[in-house]
Amino acid sequence: MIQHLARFAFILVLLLGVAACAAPASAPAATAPEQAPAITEKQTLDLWFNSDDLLNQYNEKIIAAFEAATPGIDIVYSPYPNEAYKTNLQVAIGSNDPPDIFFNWSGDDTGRFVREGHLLDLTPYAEQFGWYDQLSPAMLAAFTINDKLYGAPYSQEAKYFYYHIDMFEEMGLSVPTNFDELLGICRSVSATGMPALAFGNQERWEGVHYLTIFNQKMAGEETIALDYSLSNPADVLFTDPGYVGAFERLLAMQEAGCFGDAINSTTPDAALIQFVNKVTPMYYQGTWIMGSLKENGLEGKYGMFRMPPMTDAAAKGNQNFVLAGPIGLEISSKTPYPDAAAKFLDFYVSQSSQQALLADVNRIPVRADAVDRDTASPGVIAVVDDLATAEGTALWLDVVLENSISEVYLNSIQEVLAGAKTPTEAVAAVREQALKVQANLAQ
Amino acid sequence: MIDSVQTHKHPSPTRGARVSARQKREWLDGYLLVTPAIVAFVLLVVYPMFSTIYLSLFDYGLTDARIRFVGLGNYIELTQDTIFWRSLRNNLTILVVSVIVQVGFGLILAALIDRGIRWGKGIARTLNFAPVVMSAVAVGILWQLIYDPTVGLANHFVRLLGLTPPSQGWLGDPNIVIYSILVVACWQYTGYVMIIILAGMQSVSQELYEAAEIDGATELRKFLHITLPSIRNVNIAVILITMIGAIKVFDLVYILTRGGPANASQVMGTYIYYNAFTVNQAGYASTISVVLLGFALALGFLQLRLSYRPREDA
Amino acid sequence: MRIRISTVLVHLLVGSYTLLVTLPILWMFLSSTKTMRELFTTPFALPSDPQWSNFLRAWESGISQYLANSLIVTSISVILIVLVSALAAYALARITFPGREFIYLLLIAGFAIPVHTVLVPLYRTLNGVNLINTHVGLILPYVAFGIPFSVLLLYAFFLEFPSEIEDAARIDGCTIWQMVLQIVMPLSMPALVSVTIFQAVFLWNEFSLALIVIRDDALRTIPLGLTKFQGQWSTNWTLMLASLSMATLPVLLLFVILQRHFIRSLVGFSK
Repeated sequence: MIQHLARFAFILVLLLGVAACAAPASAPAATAPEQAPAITEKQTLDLWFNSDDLLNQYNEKIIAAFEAATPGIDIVYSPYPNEAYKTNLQVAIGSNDPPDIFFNWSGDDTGRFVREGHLLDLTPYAEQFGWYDQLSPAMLAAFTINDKLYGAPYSQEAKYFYYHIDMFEEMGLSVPTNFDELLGICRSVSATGMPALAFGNQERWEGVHYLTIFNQKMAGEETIALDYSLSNPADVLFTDPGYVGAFERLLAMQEAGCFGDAINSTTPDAALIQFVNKVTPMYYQGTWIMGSLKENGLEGKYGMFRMPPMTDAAAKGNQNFVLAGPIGLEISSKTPYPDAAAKFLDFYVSQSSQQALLADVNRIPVRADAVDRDTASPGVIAVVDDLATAEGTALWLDVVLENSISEVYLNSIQEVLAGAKTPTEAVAAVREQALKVQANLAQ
Repeated sequence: MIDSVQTHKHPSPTRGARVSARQKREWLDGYLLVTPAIVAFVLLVVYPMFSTIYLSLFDYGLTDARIRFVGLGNYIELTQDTIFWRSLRNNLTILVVSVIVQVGFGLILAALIDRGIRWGKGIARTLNFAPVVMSAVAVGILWQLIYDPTVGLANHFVRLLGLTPPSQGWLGDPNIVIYSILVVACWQYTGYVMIIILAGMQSVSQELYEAAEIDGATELRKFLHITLPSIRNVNIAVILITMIGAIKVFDLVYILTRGGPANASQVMGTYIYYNAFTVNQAGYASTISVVLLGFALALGFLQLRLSYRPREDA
Repeated sequence: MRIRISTVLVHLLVGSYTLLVTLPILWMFLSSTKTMRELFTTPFALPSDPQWSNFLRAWESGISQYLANSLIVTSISVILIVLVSALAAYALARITFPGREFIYLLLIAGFAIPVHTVLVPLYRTLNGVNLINTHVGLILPYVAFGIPFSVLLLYAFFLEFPSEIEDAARIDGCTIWQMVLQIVMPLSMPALVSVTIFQAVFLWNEFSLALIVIRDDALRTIPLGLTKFQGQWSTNWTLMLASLSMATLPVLLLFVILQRHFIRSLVGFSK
């Protein structure tokens, strides 16, 4: 009898022992950090990123340089595919073991983390390291909520039409000066049998980028600011006819032959391949692809232009706005090593890192002293100059809107493009969800 | 399947106090033996199940501190949720088509291999079964590539046959996406059904076939009047397994389409995940879970009841 | 030997159907060694210049790590499942303790519970004891969910087990632990092997639980690793296919070698 109990107890202890040896590969962060541990202790930080082959290589280089410069701090790098990144981050942030440092967009993506208390206030670090003097004020402002800084911006991303210069010449096309001319280009190109624009909407965000700029141009920036922040009263929320108009512009593009087939099942990367291989003469995409374009030998062979202004009276917005937004690094409020994490952020936005960002990955830095006009790629110079002339930026819709509302937008665009919903039905669905969220927040 | 809770009794020596103590010791051993299994199972399966039912009465988010009792509010919302009804319909579509195709084809294939093939039986079995051991993730990614509008095998194939591929893409057209997914599911699991039925067929006594042959029966008649009735229990089991799989499906749909485009291919499993982790509505996700649980338990008990029937073995 | 037309037709039918089924897998292996351009232009032809480097790159980019993780998680889980289930199944089959029937029915009911219906509470529980993002946090639910099937299968087996051996052992003075571990288990090899294979294949390919439990790249199992590659190499299809090939090859090879056991274990599931 004792024999069985002994054996049984042994097995139980074994199992418990296995459980107790749970060794997460990340920094221990079960409770809120009290004091910073002694400097001699090895500090390990998780770094989460929205991955991309080129950016991964750059990040690993920066991490290696940082670890060499600051022995005692180790960075564990975890890249994630773009599509699942938001969901993964959201779930992890709310758990007992959030990542210490992570990539994030601005807008409500940062806003809701701030509301839920998940982000570390970076203002004291910004002052300590001098970010307010070094980094672009507009970029810092995007990550500032209630006068506190919550993210360190490291790049500005904007959206442009890219076009093959030689294809345009062959087809006798020139850069459009307004939206109707853009439609005209689409018609000419599709008459030759190829789609005018590569468009990969399988992950849904390419479509929402069109809607972002259309909403701003049609409904106007003041209206959308009130609607997106759900500040408008319930009877006014998302009722501006500009929203329907925005969808109608998208359909107008589709009818003019701007897009090809199977757009909802083409991945954004497949669309990039189409453009690179000259299956289409144009591609409307973010500046983050400029690194890939350089890799594919297209430097100097492509031109860029913004979404052209709309000239009809229904377009109420400032037509000199550009679709853009910063991206940055943020620190979890539960990290046990805030100082070490902030040091890494400072290293990431330092002049040398930013210069490397431009040189290696062709992305737009957030500090003026990182842009060397002699060595930088002409595409980047063009973007930097163009952004300086814009009167404002429209931020990506799925970043600025509350999550469930942006889900409705993302899905509705696919449905409108597939002909399963009309623009009016789509906006009605958005309004319905917005009202729901507004009511929930009021409780 | 098991007919009832049997046990092989030890011969009990005598009555009286000695038996009691001994039996009690036996019982204690029994409890000790089952405890690890039961503890693990109750802690990580049964308790969460009740948790789910409890959580379905709340408005609750996993990533924020929000938790608010709403009683049956989630259920009322569920009845008006078009996406939920879509997901239920998709599950049922998958169920019906899976049973027809996987069991139908599986049956025919098994019959052909069992009695029609003389050479290559083993190879046919192996090759048809191979997709079953691949992970749903690998299968999903592979078929995503196959369905890709630019470089995929599917379009190439279709054009070879002189037809035009769907203009919105196999996985982009809301009207056909669930069928595109079904093609993949059937591709993977028909072999599984086939193998099970084949095993059942191989236990049918050869003498029956020989007797029928003497009477001049055709292969078809032999199949309909000998084979089918003999494997009736196997067929029922296989249909049930397929149905349960159709209700539980998640991995394949998640990898192929995430439930898209625009929720057109959403199934209950993926809709639960979407609500719990993407839009932070864990309470609502639990509500959907309760419905899914209902279906699963109903099918499970059906399987249990059907296995209580007396066997019709020859 | 007379060869009838119908026999030829049947062979052709089954043969072409089998070929059709095998085609995607063949395409996957074939295309892993092609260049991107070849993939675009000649999907069915053999590669002219096999790019074996694709496999090397896939291996170095993480397949080696993911394989190791899958091996660890799967083997520990399966060992625990078999151990725990065998003990319980034996008790259910041989000892008439009160509550037996209830436990039996509980297991049958639990068997039907899909993982997704308990994702949320499971996540909360694991999060509460800080087991999220650990291998243990994955092993424990794997074991729990694997128990019903294994117990029921082994229970059916033990019912048929001849009792003479146990009677003899009892006369020789064996304790129940010695009985189970040293006598019954070794003689139950076929059933144990069946359970092992079934659970091993299932857990090796498991995705949903791994998706919510594992986050760090260094801990990912193969299914999770594949989704990471999917995002990372979404334009490099040949590399993606190479990593798919490497991920499925172990199981496919194992299957071909252990065919009979595989099939027997998976067929036993239906009974």
